[in-house]
Amino acid sequence: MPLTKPQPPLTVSFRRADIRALWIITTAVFSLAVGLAADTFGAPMPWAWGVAALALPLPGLVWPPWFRLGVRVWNRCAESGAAVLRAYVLKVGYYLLFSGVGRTGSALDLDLRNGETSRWISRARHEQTFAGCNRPSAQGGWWGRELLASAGLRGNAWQVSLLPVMLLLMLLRKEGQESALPSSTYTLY
Amino acid sequence: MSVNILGLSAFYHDSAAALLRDGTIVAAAQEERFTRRKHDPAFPTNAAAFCLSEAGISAGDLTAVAFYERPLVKWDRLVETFSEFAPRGFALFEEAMPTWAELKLQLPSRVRTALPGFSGDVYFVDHHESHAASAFFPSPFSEAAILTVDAVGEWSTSTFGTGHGNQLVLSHEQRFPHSLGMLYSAFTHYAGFRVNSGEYKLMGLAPYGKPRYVDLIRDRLIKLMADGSIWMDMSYFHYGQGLTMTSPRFHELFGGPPREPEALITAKEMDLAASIQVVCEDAMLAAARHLHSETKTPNLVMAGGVALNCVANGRLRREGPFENIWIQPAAGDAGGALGAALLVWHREMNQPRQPQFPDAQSGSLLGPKFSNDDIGLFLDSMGAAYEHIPDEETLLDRVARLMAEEKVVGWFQGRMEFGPRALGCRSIIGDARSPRMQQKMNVSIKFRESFRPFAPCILREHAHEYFEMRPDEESPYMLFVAPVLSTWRTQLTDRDRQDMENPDLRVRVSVKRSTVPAVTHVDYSARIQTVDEGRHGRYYRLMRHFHALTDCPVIVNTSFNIRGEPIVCTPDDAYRCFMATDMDCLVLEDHILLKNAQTFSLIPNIDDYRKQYSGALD
Repeated sequence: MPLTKPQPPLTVSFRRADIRALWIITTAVFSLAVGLAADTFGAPMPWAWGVAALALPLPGLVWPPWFRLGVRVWNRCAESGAAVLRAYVLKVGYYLLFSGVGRTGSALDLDLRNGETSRWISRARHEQTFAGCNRPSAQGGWWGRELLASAGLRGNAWQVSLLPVMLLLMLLRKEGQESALPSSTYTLY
Repeated sequence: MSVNILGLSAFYHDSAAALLRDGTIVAAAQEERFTRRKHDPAFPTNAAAFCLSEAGISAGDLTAVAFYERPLVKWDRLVETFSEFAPRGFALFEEAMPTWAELKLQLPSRVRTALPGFSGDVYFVDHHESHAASAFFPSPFSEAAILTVDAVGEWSTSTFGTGHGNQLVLSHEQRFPHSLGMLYSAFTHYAGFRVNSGEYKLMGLAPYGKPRYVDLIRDRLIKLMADGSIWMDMSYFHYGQGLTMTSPRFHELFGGPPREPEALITAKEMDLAASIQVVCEDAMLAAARHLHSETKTPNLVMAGGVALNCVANGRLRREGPFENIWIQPAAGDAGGALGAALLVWHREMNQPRQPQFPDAQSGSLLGPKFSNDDIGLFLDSMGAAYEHIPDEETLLDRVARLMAEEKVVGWFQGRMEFGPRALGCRSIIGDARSPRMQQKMNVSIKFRESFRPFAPCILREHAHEYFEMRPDEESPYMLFVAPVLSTWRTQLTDRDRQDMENPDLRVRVSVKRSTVPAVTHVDYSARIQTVDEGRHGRYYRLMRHFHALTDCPVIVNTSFNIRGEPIVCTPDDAYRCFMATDMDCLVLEDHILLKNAQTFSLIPNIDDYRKQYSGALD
């Protein structure tokens, strides 16, 4: 056991060489796109527009601050775009799916029945439904298949429509999401 | 070949890992102790690495991994909750879904990725069965009734059943959203404390108040059945649909919005705390009586977050129907890691169980320990002034004398505790007789609200002489509260009575009520840890020295940390905490450090130190 606390492992998402390669490709694509746009809109000498467009990103290959600025702008745009898309996916997923499904009720037992004397219920009933979940998981089983199998077991096959939402959220993930811990409510989820 | 099972709890609060080898608990620890982030919910990478290193194995040597919850069953509850409250629950949905998409639905692969080389089975164990297993299997009973009560697991919020031999059956449950734990947390939130971590503060606040809201709670918020089960009127609560525990209707009922954190605590909060504490105790007692009538066994084991309510536990012991009660010391979610592993061993692998006496928890001292050689090297590297005293008698005599001189001692020895309590291995200790000790520890060392007294440690054989306990009863894990016997109580003077009306709770708690004022609450109760030689070794012998010197078998024990900081794990953590606070002395195994002998330039700025933990959950 080390005497001092362990340092977190150093993780680098992308290598610098990869980013430079991406920069070069993006430069070429940007130049081509500007040239094509100029041609489409009938500008004179569209090839010159394409060459001129190189002037914007190309200095980044020789002047690191410009390169860093470009990457930062790109990241900021990507983050903002992902946040907007994430909010959109969440709203569509919730208001479209749950507002509809919610109309048919839920398994939550909220009402107090007349003369009710106990809220203890036998676990046997639910254990039958959930028995499959306690078995050792299959090696490398895809979570989506397991989710659908589990939902199907309980007659909730409609959850198949949740899969695209979850997949999109996975793609649009936000760094550091798992560390959020609200202080005003119990971590129900 | 040995069977090694790694139990894990993660991603909610108090992540932890525990390792079993052929059914014996080899190691267990909470992740927060390594990352220094209170209630760390992250995957317990460091805790798991420690467990594997303690056993001298790698992940490839693990037979199985047991996770303390079944994510897909929890997912089911989540989806049903969204369906029930749609379209009003978007805030909760927005908070929950990304975490599930990125992490929780992929737990099996996440577990394997985090344990490279592991190729065995991953078991997902029911949350409350994990709690139940953590309570029954390490207990000394061959047969017992089992009661688990917490906020919520997958669907269950509390369960009961029986354990017999290596078998465990939970026959009944209460289901979300009706939950005693949630109810208590709702009041924690309303009283201005943090949910998931401030519940013990609410419990500590209760003795100041009058339970004048009990009828209101029972008439309007809940229906408490005769068998201890509860129904909750969800129009008063908001946790099914939002990011707060209570609804506007709740606020209206109790006459205003929740108290702002750090705002003045008023009589209203005290009365609310007293009221919900009474309701909680009544529910626990009724559930225990029902369980006893169903099972007819004299033994009860408990786990789940509500089982950390030591005031309710004390009442259960004094007024309840069970002769013997054993509670898992890591009763919260951290203990689920241990329970999940034990359940896989006994149930899935069908391995026999031989109950051990006093229990199989090894005093809950299951964390890392450090050698004297390593500590010496570390202290040298820090340039610390210290004395190495290899003779135990000399060392203990020296420390006992310092304590008798009202010095505050940081005591670091042996394996770190598993669970939320410091039990004499990572503790700050002092003289319980000192009327100044409570304030000194609170203000200059712990930097916390000081309306709560400290816990007493008492030599096991003297416990019944000081507190209302049977001679055969013990409380080695600080999980029971009992009143101080009238013999030791002191008469209040007129000035004391006047102070007891003071709105400043620090004044009230400092009134001398007994011969051990530092550990006596305003209602003469104390959260007791009994100390015995078998479990506590050197700590017990230190207390014997103190007893011989002072004729007092009681000392103050509080966790070795400041407010918001996890309990120290390593000598480095302990040294930094010692240097940053007003502790007088630090004992690291055989090494003793006196504050006034340290080089001034090495003492860090206390504000910088506190800042590290200022945003943390208490």
